[in-house]
Amino acid sequence: MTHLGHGVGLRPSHYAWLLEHGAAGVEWFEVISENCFGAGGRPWAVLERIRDEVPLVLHGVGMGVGDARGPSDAYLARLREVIAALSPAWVSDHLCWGSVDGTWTHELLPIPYHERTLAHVCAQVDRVQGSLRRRLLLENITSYLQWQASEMTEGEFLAELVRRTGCGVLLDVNNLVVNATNLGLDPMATLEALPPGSVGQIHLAGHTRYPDGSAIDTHVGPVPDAVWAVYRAALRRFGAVPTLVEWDDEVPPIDVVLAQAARARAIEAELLAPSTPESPAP
Amino acid sequence: MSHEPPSNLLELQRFFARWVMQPQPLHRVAQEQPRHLCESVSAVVRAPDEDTALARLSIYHRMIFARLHASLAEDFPALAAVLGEQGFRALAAEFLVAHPSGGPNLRDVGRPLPGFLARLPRQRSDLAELARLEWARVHAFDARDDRPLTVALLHAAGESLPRVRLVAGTRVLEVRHDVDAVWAAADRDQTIPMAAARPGALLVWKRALVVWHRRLEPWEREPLAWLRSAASSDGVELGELCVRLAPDDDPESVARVWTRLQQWLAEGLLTVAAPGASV
Repeated sequence: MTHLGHGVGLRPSHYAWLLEHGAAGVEWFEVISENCFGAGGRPWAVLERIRDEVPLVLHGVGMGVGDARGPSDAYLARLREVIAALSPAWVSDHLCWGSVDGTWTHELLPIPYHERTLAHVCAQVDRVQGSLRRRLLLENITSYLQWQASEMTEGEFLAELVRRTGCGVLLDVNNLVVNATNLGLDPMATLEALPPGSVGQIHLAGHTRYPDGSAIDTHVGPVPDAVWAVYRAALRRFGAVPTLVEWDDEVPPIDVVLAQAARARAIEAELLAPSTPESPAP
Repeated sequence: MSHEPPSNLLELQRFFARWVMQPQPLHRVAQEQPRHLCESVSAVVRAPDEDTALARLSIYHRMIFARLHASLAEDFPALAAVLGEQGFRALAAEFLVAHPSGGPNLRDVGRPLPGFLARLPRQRSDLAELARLEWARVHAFDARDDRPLTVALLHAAGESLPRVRLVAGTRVLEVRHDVDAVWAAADRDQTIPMAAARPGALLVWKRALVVWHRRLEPWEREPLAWLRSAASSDGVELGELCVRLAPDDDPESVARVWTRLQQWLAEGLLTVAAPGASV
């Protein structure tokens, strides 16, 4: 997968600035797929303005590969139209469910990690990849609960999903840290469970910590130190991976978000620069 | 609420939805439920005890309603301002039980709200009209961005008059109250007046990514209704539209047609009809 560099999420609060100035200084944008499901409005005006200036990637929040009924044909048909219009470098969504019996929760909800669900999700990912005629990246989610029925970890589940379907992983490092805080899960165990080469993109973001010790994945504020630490570990394991900074609440001017992307770029350069051979001892 | 532990993915997801897709705080629901229903939560959710299992579900309950509420408040800001925070929150909860989100796009959640308000027997009818205005604005904003026909484009067309239609997303709303004045006060963060009786029609449309609305003037009703009824893919002859802009035999009619057409062109209401396009 092409290493696009270090991008940022396209957010409505940046639309006015982008319409005026274009996308100079941005390596790539991740666009929320469902924001493009309408026929027009400002999202499409912005995309028309920047699509020739900067690579775009589509990231969905509503596909629902873990829905018991799977993604709807209508959803996939609209996504195909958006893909045809924008030619994204790749397409991603989440390893989760979000709707049941025609009611959408608009949340990314955990599935039980066991063999029966794995078979179901594999069938849905095969269906999606066949429909979109491209590889899908699936993101590990923030979970605020674990199901009694789970028999494997999310990392083990994702690794097996990758092996059986050929899909890739969008590794959200912030989600690993939030899950570690709330559920005591080990981020390093997830990194170790995922095979090298499986991670096609990394997400970085901030979260909110509460006095009771819990954390919520709010995507607010700069990337915390704990997330940078796991990012370093991820780069050591997976090498250089296109990385994107998400900032969804109290969104600052785009320069501030770009500064976070620049920090990710610097960390990658520091960790993965070819080592200079040491001079032979005299 | 069933207390059977879910046996498959569909049942698990239904179990989850039954707990979190209702408006009451979960601890209150738990107090009202028989003991075995609460025990079923800890049989499904991994947690050291029942309270923790319910607390974990509650996180999702709060997040789901907060997100849906925020989406409605964004789409209906004037209605939210009129009702106040508590009143709007109560309305949103009642609405979401009657109309849970039926699609993947959060943008569509508020679509049934004007109709829901209109059917509420105890609700003021002006609120349903205000909601209808706000949803028409959302609809116009999300509509395809048509290139408006301008006087310059018309001159450039020369003798060959184009076929025209209304720009995508344009709507005419019949109203019985001055909800446009209420909307304007809310938009300017001013003290919001009680809606007064003022029957008429509101025109809602988009120009250059900005949504506009205004009262219809009497002369506009007939030609607009005709344009909307003829909103087919190939539009209408501009010449025929001009006839409808001043249908009488008044000697000043030609001047009046041009004035009226210029007004619509300046407002960006018309676009050149292209085959295959629809309003």
